[in-house]
Amino acid sequence: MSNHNGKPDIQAALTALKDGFAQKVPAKIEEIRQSWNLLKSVPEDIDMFHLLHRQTHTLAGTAGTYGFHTVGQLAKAVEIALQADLTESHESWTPQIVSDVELLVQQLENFNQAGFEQEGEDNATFQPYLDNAEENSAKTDALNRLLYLVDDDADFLNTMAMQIRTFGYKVVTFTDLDRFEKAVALQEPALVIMDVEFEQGKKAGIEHIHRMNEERENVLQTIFITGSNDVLTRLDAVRAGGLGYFAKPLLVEKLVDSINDLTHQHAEEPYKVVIVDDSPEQSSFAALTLQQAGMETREVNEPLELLNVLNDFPPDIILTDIYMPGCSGLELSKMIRQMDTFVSIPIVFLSSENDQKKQMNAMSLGGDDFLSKPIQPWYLVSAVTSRIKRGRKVRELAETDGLTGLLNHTKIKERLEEELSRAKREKTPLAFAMLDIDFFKHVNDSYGHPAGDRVLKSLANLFKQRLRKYDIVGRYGGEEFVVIFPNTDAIAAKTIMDKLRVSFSEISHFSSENPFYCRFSCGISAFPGYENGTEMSNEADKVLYEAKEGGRNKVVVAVNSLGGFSKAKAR
Amino acid sequence: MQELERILYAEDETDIQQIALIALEMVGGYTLKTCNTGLEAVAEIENFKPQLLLFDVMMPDMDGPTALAKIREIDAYKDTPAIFMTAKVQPNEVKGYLDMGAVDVIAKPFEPMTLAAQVQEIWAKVQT
Repeated sequence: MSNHNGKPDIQAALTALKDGFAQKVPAKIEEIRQSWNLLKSVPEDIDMFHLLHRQTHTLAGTAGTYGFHTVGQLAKAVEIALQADLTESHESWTPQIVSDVELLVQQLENFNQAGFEQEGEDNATFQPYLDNAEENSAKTDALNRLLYLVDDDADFLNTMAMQIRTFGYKVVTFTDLDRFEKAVALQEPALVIMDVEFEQGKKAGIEHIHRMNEERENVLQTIFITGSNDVLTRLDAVRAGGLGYFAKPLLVEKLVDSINDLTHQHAEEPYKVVIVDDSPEQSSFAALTLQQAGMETREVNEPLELLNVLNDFPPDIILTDIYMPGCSGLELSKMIRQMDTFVSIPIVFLSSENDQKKQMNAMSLGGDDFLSKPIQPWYLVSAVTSRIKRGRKVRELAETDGLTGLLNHTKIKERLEEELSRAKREKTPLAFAMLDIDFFKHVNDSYGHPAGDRVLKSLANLFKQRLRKYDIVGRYGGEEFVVIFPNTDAIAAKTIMDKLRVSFSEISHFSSENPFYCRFSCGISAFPGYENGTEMSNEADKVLYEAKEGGRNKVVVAVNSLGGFSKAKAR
Repeated sequence: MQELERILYAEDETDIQQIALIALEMVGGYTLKTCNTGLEAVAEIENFKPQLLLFDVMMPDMDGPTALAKIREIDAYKDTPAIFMTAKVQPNEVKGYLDMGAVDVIAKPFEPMTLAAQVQEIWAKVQT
């Protein structure tokens, strides 16, 4: 078998590559559009035909490999549609081919605008390993948040830097390219945001990065910003290794979205697999294979031990042998399915059983699928991966809010109850904040719903960036959000929420005309003092109302939440 | 069984090259020599002395099948296992590649995390 050292490096390398590729996709689609337009007007241009064929063929192969399956399939479809004509003379296109290709190219473009980011996130094979070591995270976090912003317009620099800082980034500004280069030599930033135009030339920013990258071992992660939006400059930016390209006036929320994506490696948890097999040789073979693909595994060689393991190590999937002494895989799956907590975990039987009737029987007992032994390692990995991906996607859809990606109402209530019982058990404080954007209806009415949505997203981004990993954020509905602060008392939570309130009020949001600003009001309740989550959230809601009545843009703590434990840990 | 270490890899598309390098060098632990065209692969072979050839089919200058035919003319490499990587994996197309002297075909797009395992398997199959 292949060896497999340095997992985090592979992950980092793949993520960086994937991010880089994602940024190149729009330019690739644009190239396809341009070739197609030219070919439509001059059908006999055989060179253009070959160019377009190569462009689509290449994108079909690369996009899929990078996990952008829809883009890959659309590109493939264009390639095939074009080939329909290969055998005929090239003097003219049949109307059918023209309309087929046109439609596909349009779909590619639409996808480009709307969908491919989401698809990228879906690509979980890149995510399975993550260096979760807590001790490293603080330092890494700080470096991950260091941005260099380079622009010769000092006013613009200051406004921009201030706004990006509100999202928790450390921004260092430069008006001069040489000073910027010296700074990079001293301390590399996580990301460079570079203006395109300087007095040295109309594309001096791009050229400078290009030259620096040629002399460097690794490419500087760069987002370009520009006053012009023409395709050729865009192309130059892509060629210089630019990962993003934004035209002024800048939409700060979008820029920050992109910064988040590029600097913040989404901390998807490693896939967790439990393998049940009475033969340790068999289970360790499967375990090793899956570990090599970055998954976490637990082997169970005593079938009846499974239930204990599930409590400690709730997996994404259970792989089980069928014939085992003591308790068969079928009985095991029946038992698991009778337990509410585990009812949705996929169960896959791994067995040399080839009899279809017996396989069917296994499924009817609550198994989800059947894999026949001997199984090829790569097939095992891909079969497990695809089931987990789907399972997680379904869970995510069910538990999160589509616009902001935060937990939804149902899930956040569930989490509140969980955290509350933990707080009771461990005798630790727990704070609950409920907040509501002030005059949000006015935002929607005056600037339109898209602008309103951007405000909601920017609040979600701000919270994701600034809160600790274990704080839990949710969108309660409309413009109402909640945060659960484990092991935190009311006063500490108020301090945090006040900082966030100020930061949020400094973010300028853009409408079609002028920038505008939003604020929020917040109510906080904290355990001890409440028996259940409903009491806690009712109380937070009540003081949120007081905050609104008291003039808005403030954080109010419920009076009987101020007691706390005598030894309560403030942060 | 002989350990697979050295793979001569020809692919013109940088995006694919990069990800395949990670998949085969970092995940698989192999040593790769990457070429951008079939012509380069032919030029590199004596120098690099690969145990396995992994070729894209469509490449400028010289495509994968032509490069393989050229390499087969060299005595020392007339039996070196070759794998084509291609998006064209219809049964008749695969048969065509096998007839050209490839031992197997890997479909594009491929799964980066399992590419090494796929190659290893083909290698093991050829060794027995």
